[in-house]
Amino acid sequence: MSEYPYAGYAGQYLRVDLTKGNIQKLPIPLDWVENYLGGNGIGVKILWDEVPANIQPLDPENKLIIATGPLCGLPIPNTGRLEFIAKSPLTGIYGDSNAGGHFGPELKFAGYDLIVFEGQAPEPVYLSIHDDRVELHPAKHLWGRDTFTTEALLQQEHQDPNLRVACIGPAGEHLVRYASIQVTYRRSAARSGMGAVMGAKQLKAVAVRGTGGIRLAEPVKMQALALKLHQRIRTNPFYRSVHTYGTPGLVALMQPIGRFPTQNFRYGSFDGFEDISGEALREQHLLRDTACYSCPIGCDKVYTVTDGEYAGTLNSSVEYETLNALGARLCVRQLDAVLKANERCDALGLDTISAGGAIAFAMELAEKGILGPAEMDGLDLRWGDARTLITLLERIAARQGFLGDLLAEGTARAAHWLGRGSERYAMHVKGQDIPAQDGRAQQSMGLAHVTSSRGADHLKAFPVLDETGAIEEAVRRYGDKYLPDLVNPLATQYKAFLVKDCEDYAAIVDSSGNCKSGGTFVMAEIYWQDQAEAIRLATGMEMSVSRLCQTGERIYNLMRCYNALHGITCEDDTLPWRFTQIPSPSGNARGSICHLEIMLPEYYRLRGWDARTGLPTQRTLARLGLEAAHSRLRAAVASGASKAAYEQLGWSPPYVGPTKDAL
Amino acid sequence: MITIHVRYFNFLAAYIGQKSQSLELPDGFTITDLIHKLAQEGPPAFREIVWREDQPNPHLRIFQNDTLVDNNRMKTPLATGDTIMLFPAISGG
Repeated sequence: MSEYPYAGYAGQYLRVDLTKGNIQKLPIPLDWVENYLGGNGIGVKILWDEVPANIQPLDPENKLIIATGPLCGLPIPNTGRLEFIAKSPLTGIYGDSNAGGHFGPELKFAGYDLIVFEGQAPEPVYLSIHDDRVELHPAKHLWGRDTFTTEALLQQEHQDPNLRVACIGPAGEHLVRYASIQVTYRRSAARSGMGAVMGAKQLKAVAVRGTGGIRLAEPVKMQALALKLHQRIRTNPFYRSVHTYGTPGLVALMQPIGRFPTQNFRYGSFDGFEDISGEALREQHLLRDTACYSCPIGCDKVYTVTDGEYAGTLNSSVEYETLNALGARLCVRQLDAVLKANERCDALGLDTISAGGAIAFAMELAEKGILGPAEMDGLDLRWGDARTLITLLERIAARQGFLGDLLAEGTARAAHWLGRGSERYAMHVKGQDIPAQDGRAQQSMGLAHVTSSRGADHLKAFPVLDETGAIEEAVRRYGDKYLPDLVNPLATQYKAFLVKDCEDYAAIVDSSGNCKSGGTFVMAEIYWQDQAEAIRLATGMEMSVSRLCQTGERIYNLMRCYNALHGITCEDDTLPWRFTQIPSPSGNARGSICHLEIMLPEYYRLRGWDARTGLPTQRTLARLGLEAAHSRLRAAVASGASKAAYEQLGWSPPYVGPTKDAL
Repeated sequence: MITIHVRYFNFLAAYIGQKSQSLELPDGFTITDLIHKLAQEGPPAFREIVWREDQPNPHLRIFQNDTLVDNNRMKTPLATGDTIMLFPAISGG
C-alpha cells in the first residue's frame, strides 16, 4: 500500500461483511478524514451514507463502526479512546458509545483506523486481527459466555495475555436494547445499546494485537507538545481530586447541589450518599489505581469486596454514574451490593445507567400499583432492595420472565408497550435513560440532555463549567464577559452558548481519540488551540482552530440531520415533566425547575436551526458543506419517509402533560 | 459565640486529618473568616489548597447548609447550627 497522504492515521480500514464472511482492507477516503476527522465524525458520515432511515437497528443492514481518531495511540495525554457507532436499538436514531482502555491504540498499531461491520453472520463469529492477518473465526464456544470469560478464553486461545478484546456478554446476545460492549480491561462502551447491534450480527468479539507504530508528521514537535500537556495536567488544580477518587468523588459534591438523582429522579439528594460515596469506596474497597493508555490522571481504580455476602467481587471502572444508577436511583445504600451489581453489569454486558433507570422505573410502577403482583415474577420491588436489583440484572440480560423481558426493552419502550400511565415514570429523552445529572440543579445539563444527538446524555456536551461554578476555568475559556451567570448552575443566561460550544468541542474530542475526563473538559488543558496543534503535528493536515470548530459543527449538524431523517424535530427536544414542572426538593436546587423554554430558542438560534422545526436551515448546512443533506432532508419530509421512520422508533416521547403527583 | 459544623470531603479530609469538626466562633464570623482561620491552623498542604493570594482559593467549593456559596455570600455572617461543606477543585460526571 502506498503511503497515506496524512500521517497520524493508519490510512486503511477494514470492511467486514459478516453475511458473506468477506474482509476487505480499504484506504480511508480523504473526505472522511478531512471533513470528519475520525471517531464518531466518520461514524455518522458512514451511517448517513450507508444506513437509510427505513433500516431497523437490529437488521443486518445496520452497520457497526469501531473507530479511532487521529490522536488515538499518540503520546499526548489520554489517547486511548475509541468509538462504537451504529443506529441505536434503544433509541432508533443515531447511536454511539465510547470506551477507554487500550483497544483503540492497539487497533491503530495493527494498521487500521476503523472497522465497519455489515450484514449478519449465519453463526456466531469473532474477528481476530494480528497486524496484517485478519480472520473471522467460529465463536460457538464463546456464545453464552460472560465478557470476562470471553476475554480470558480469547487470550488463552491466541496465547497472548496482551490481546485486546471488545466483546459482548449474554445481554448483547439476547438483544437487550442497552447492551454494552466491554473492552479490555473492563471498560464499558455502554450507552445506546451498541452491544445489541453486535449480538444481532452474531459477532461475539473483536480481538486485536498490533505491533506496528504510527507515523507522525512532526514527531519531535509532537513529543514536546505531549510533554507540555502531561505537565500541565499534572499541575492542574483539579488533578489531585480526579486522580485520587475518580468520578466517584463527585457523589458527595452532587448531594448538596441537588443533582444526585434519587428514587427515579424524585429527589436530587440521597440520605445514604455517604455509604456509596467515592470516599467510602476508596476507604473500604480500593485494591489499586490503574489507568487507560497514555493517561497521567489514572481516574480508574480496581475495587474488591473481601467479606460478607458479596465477597469476591472485583471491579474496575466504577463511575459516579453507576454509583447513582445502581445506588441512589434505587435507594440502595449497600456499597458492596452496588459493586456486585456493577460487576454483574460488566460481566453480562449491560449499560449500568439504563439498567438502573429501567429498574427504578419498575420500582416506581410497583409503588404506584401500575405493575401488578403477577407481573413482578415473584420479586420484591420495594425501593432499596439490593437482592432484587442483582436478580433483575440477571433476568434482564437473559430476557427471563415477564419483567426481565419487559425491562430489556429499555424504560421508554417498556412504557410505550405497557401503557396504563406508566409513561410518566419513564425518565428518558428520545428513548435513552437520563443519566445522573438533574437539569433542575444544573440548567445547562437539562439543555444538554435534550440537544444530545444520542438521546439523554451528559457527555455530548459535558458542560461542566456551571456544575458548581468553575469561574477560573470559565475565564480561561471565554474571558469574564459571561460571568457570573455562565457558572451559576441555576441561571439560564449563556447556557445555550455553553452547550453549543461544548457540543462542538466534544464532537472533535470524540472524533480525535482523546478523553473528555482526561484533560479536555474537566481541567481543559487541551482545548481548541492545543487540539488543533496536536492534530496538525500528528497528521500534517492544515488545521486551524476555526477549521476545527467548523468540523465540530459539521459533525454535530450531520448527527442532527440523521436523526431528522427518522422524524426527530424540536417536539422531541424535551424533558419529562418531573424536570420541567416539579420544583426540585433538594439542596442548592430546591425550588428550581429546568427552563428549557428559555434556553432552547437561543440554542436553535446559535446553531442556525429553524426555531419552528429545530432542524438545520439550508443556509447553515451550506456553510458547513452539507448542501446535499438539506436536499435529502427535504425529500424525506415531503415524501413522508421521516414520519414513517418516526412511527417505527418504538417509544413515546417523555410525558409532559398535567399531573397530580407532587413528587 | 456561635457553633458551626465543618465537613471536609475528598482529599481535604486527609490533608487536615479529620472528616469533620465542630467550631465555636465569634459572632459575625463570615465564611471568608472561617476559611482563613482553617488555613492558618491547618497543615501547610491544606493551607495551600484552601487559601490563595489573601483570599479563599477560588477553586474551593463551599456549601453553607446545602447552598452553594458564591462570591456574594463569602462575607455573610455564619449562624449557630450552620453546616459548612468544603470540597477541593472537583468536577465531572
